[in-house]
Amino acid sequence: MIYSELKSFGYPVINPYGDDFLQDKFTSEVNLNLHENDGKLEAKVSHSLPDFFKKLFINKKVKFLTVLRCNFTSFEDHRIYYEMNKDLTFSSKDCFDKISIESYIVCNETLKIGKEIDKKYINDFYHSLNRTYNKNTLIGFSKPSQFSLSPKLNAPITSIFVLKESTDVEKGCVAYDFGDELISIYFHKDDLIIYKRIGNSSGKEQKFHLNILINAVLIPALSAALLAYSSNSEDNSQLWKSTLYTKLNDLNYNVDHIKPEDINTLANKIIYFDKDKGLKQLNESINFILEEDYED
Amino acid sequence: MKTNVFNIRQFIKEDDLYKKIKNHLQYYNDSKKDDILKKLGNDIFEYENSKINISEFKNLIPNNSIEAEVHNSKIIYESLTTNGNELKRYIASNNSLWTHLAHTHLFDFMVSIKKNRNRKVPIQDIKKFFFSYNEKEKKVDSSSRALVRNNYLSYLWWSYRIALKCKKLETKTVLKWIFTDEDFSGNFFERPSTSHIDSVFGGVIRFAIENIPHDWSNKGYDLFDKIDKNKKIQKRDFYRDFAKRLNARGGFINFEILDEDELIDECLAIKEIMMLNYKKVLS
Repeated sequence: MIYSELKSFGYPVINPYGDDFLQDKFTSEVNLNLHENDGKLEAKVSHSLPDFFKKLFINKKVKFLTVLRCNFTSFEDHRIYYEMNKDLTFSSKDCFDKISIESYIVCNETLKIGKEIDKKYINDFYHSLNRTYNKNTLIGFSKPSQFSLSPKLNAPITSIFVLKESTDVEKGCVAYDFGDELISIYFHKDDLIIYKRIGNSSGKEQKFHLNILINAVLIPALSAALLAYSSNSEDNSQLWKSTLYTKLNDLNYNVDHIKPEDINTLANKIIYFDKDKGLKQLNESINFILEEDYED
Repeated sequence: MKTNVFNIRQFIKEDDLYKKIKNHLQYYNDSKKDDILKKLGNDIFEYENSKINISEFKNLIPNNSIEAEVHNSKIIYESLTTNGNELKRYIASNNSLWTHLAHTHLFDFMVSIKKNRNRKVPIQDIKKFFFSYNEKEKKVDSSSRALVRNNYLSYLWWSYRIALKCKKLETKTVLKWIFTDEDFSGNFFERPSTSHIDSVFGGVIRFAIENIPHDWSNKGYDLFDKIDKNKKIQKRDFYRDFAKRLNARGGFINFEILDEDELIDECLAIKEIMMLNYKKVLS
């Protein structure tokens, strides 16, 4: 279960948002790497907690539960451990596009407020609460870390783009930067606002803005990318090129045989090939490229 | 020849099969597979190292009895492979695969099942059965829930896959329970929060098979030694109430960390509370 900052438990739970526990909050950082040779996902997880909580871990009274979720494939996997910093390994074979990783703190044995958990660490509000945490009860949760397995793993074509604001670009114009990882598309700030509306709108309005983005921005950008790729197909080291290679393969095209006059048609095919996976998924990936601040 | 996935989607959309089902009703009523295959023109499906062993399809039983569904789900599951192993999950989560199969190699099978259901093949039903279309939302439904309830082939594949992961029960037993008990399926099997975590689903279905009465009648079940014959608990209400309580419990306990036996204990505790409540209401 994914908990938001609005979730109320009725008993003290340490998390990144509230003040049930005084002193520090519970935060987790996840650094995710994909090992391309064996498809393993390595998650370097590091947690930050108040000192008294760390003691509970040392005495194995509580434990960490880290869950990896992929909504598209309804896949879940988890790991249980006691260390503040831990390297966890998951398989990527059942994942597609977006995944989330979140960590929980779970009681390993019965804990009592006033006994194992000193009242001085918790908010006054709970001091009169005669509460026992039973074994397996949740006592902490972190903010989910979102990742896109793009562009390597089965991700939509939109995952190779990142939209950015630039003061050097005139209103109504765009500029491309073919980086080692992703292709940056630069806009004037007034233009970028239009595309940012996609995430905040719904229904017809959302479709309208999405179609503008696809037809006016992504298809021309993809055409430019195909042209750049076909003119230098020997160097396949950039991440966006390897994604394009997979997409072309899906459509039975060979990059060495692309003719300049086919490029626009091909760009349309690739975009709409992915669009068929569902507007929601395409939209989510667009939101992702809008929100994330990539370093090329 | 390779069937290109893009061609499949073009075929489904641009040849109006999907948008003009009304005009193509004869395809489905008369099983005119040739008309459809003529348009697609390919007979081997290959997608990202995944293959379909078409020769196995001749062993499918074209009816929807429980025994046939158990048998058929095994064939559908085992006929689709990625690099010789289980079909990749993200490919099995893609509606295009199932829609394509339903209109090509398994079209006759699909039509037979529809006819055996003794229904008229209304358009909405075809949309759901062949395309996993959600009439309410006016779009093809790619949600986890739709995968196990809309397209019939997807339903069979995912049923077998989920049943296979229940290590402490025979796959056949799990499948029979899923296919027989619609109320159980609706509340647990079709919900990814319970069905897609192996230990959770394994625990819930073992609890259901071992602790829930099997002989519910249409009039409901007397769980309390016939306290009052006119006051009975309806199975649907029982499962709904149970699912609601289990979900609420899941708000405080991460079921992922429980093993099957611990989960069964949780289920038994919930059942006990429900029984006490029912007794209060009925007495």
